[in-house]
Amino acid sequence: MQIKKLAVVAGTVGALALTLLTAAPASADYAPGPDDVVGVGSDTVQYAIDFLADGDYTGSTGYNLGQRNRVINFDATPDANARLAYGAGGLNGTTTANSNCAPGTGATVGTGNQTTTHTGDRPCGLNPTIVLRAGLKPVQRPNGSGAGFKALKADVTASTHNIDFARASSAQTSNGSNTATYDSVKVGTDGLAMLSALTTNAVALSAAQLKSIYECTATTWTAVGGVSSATIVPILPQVGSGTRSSFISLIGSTDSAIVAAGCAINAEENDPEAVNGNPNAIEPMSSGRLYMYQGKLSDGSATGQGGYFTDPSCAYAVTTPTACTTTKVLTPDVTYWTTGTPSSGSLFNSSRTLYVYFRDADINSTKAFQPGSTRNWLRTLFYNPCSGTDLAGATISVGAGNCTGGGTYGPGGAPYLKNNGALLSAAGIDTTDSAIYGAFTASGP
Amino acid sequence: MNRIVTSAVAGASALAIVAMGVAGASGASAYSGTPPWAAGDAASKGSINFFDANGNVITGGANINTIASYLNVSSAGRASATKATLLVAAPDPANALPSTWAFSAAQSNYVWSPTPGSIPTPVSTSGNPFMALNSAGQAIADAASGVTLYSGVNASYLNVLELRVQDSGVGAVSDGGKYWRTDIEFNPASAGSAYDGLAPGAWRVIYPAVSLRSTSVATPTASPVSPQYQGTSVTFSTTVSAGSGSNPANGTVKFFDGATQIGADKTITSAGQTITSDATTTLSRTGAFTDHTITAQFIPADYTDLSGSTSSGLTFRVNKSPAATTTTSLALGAASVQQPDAVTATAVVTKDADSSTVTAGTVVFKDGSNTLGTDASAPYTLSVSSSGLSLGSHTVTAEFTPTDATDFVASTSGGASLTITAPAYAASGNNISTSIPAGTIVITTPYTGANTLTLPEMTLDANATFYSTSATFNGIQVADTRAGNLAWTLSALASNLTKSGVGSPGANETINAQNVGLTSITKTSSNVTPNTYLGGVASGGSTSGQNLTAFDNAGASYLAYNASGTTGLGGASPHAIVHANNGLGTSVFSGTLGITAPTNTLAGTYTGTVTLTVIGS
Repeated sequence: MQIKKLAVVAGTVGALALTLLTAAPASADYAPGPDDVVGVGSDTVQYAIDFLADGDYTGSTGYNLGQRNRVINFDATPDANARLAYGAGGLNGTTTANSNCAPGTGATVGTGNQTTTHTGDRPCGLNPTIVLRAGLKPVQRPNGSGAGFKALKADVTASTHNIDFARASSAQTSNGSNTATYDSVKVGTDGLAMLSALTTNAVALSAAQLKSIYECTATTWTAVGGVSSATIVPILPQVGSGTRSSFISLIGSTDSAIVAAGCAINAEENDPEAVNGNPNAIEPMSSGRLYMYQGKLSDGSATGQGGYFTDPSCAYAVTTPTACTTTKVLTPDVTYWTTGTPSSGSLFNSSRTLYVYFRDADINSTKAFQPGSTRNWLRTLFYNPCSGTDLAGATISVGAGNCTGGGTYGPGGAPYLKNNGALLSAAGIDTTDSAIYGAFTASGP
Repeated sequence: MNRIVTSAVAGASALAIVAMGVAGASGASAYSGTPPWAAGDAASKGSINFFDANGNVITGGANINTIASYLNVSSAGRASATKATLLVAAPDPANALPSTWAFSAAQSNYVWSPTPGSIPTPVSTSGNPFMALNSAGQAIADAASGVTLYSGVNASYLNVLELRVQDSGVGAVSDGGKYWRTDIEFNPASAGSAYDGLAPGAWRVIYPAVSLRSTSVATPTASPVSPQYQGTSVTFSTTVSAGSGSNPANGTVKFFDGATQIGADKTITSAGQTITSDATTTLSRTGAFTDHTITAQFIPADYTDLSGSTSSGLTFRVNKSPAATTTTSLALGAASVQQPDAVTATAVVTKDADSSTVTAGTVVFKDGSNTLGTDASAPYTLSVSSSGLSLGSHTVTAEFTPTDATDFVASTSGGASLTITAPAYAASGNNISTSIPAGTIVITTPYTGANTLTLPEMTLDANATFYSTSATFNGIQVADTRAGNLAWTLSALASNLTKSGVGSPGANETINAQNVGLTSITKTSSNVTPNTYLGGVASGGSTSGQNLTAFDNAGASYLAYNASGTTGLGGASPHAIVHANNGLGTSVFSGTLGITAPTNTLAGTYTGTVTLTVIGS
């Protein structure tokens, strides 16, 4: 579900361009009703669930079509191209010294609520807001796996049920409290490798080399087997991003070490525009997101519809300037480093599992998702085992005669996630590993 | 209006006929004419047809969870639509608009009209969009379990499902929510009894009503008729007729050998036409014969008018071909051979029908009526020695006998001439003979005749309880010349020693033979093979670890002159002192001979004998 807030436009082409923005009052975006299902969290996973809910751009329909109650999948950012919204001050400089975020903005979650200008926080993210349910006041939009999961936990602690699921691109820990409350289902896998501009000084890099780059001990390409002595610009997804935490963990570093070293620049995760045109910028990039830019399915074959993202500087359905033909598809000139040999070590080319987290109690919730449905929202969409209890509280089992799929699922058959791998594939997410696709994990790791 | 539904079902379902006033305990009909919701459904744009894997229309079945392999819809789809979704909706009298009923997806976003590859006609040729169903799409009961089904008293809504197809495409996600729909009646698989003529798990289409004319396919005829030898080219023919009205002028006929289709689909182009299958030469056969059941199946092109049908089976027998005749040919390496040389005979067996080589059998090579030799496997060859043949002319033949006389016929080659000529130089025969002597064993010891082994004077022990003496017993020789390198056992037996010079030795004038012992035997020399020796073995011990074994036979402790027993070298039977497992050769031993005597033995010189004997095996 992409919710466009007219007030916020983040038009970045190139990593360091200043952008401007003005906040304006929200207009009539859809606010979920009490019987809708609401999800928040990871940027990496958002399109997969957006397509599951509303269909994709290849002509497939999603779950919501014709249904009274809907899945509302709040994206990580208020931009359908998944770019970060910047407040006044934008990316504002390249060093800690010259970055200066206005009150209410900031890259670090929480500091955006300060009432005074604060320095050293790049970029000056807007901390946009959303209305979780009709009738509620706006709250901070959770941006990323960690932010989404924290919001789900806060929802549980507050005994509200405004958030139903949280998307995550890394396994979430419940930090000791509420340990038996959260379960997850795996959506699929996504590759993670380094992205640079097409014209670049970058070379193939190993995890160890990336660690030294992001901890600022290797600052030029020559230090990591490159030819150029230009300064490397390491870009990192924002705090709260699962891609950020996965990446930092995979290169063997820590968040505090990288923040303390201070040369890494925060940007919205999975945004190839961040490196476009900068020959020294590198960032970890989701393969699924890159496929969407390239108009490919998760198996690398073409969707036949071209890339998903179009140039936001072109107004809707106008063909001027000439660069804006009927659909101006964004095709960032980038290199995705899935091949190549680093000067030492083996190439950093990983993959990660994508998750949807939810309350364990929702498995056996007795609230029908749709009028006349025999299933609750979780069993309809994500997880429907031949176990637990149905809407009437009766046991679901082969012996009770209410299982389907040859004893695999509860009433109603497979959950929508399992019957619609094609929608996930259109978001570049790989569902071919049957041990991962739809796999359930109890109680969070 | 009576509604008659005939089901052309691929599989086991029988014809189901439903008319007004049928079934149900109430006596009222469950379904009459058009369902109450049908007229008011502005979202409906036509109906759905279901097909089995062969392209037969299905209007009912025995298993609501394996409903069909394909479906198509009754009208053209939107030009921009490329995908379709099959949904299951639950009719609900509380909601007048069918588009508001609860629904559950059975199969989502499948390619609309995939490229025909294995898609059968008429599904692929109807001109309307179609869909291949996967396991989820066939599992209607599973999908239906996702919606709450009506369970009230209005029979028109009871046990009814509405199957819907919606199409979508890029920029054309939904056709305003419209769908093609067909209503089916079913009996849940968990039901304990039939419902409205449906067994548990069975289903039928109720709306739109399907009324198909029946057809029948004639039992195929064969050309040539059964039985035929395996490999014979056979075709089958049939005709298709309709139960009412005109015979089909189009449609597809498939011929089957059991479950396997024979050749390609055949097309009807005129009513009453004789349809002939492709020719087949590959009807299988095991053993003496195999009976095949040949059927023909009709799949109508106009599936809204005619039902499909399958003929009864024709039994067609395939016999094993008669044994193939063979020809054996023989070639000799040379036509003439000089003793003592050999010549190679080579036979080749071929099948007359196609000159292929035959290897399943044995060839016997003969010289006239004498067998020279046999070769049981191809290539069939024999090296014939000239030495065993007489000088002059011989005729060699090769006779082939097949392993399985039902596969091949035996055959014999023509004769090949072979001339044996005398050797270059005359031979001279010599008789030779020899023999091996039986051999014997000879014991030689030095203490015979005048040469007595004199032991030192007996002395008392420290406690003055007994007398003893000992001496080395040297030069015990065993010479074994027997053929066969056999075993032997050397034994010794002592007599009592008596006082010399006394006519009748009295009570204390005798030393008991049991007091004589022979111990610590050592091997002085030996040339037995293997030359392995173990001494000091207790009497009765194992002889298997070495060739020569020497036993200790220690004498008793100063038994009284008249004590009985077999200790030491006393008693009546000789005691084994050396054993050889393979004793051929000469072995020399020595040992320690010891004698004890009680203290009441009178003074004097005592003499006795030790007799050595040998037993060979």
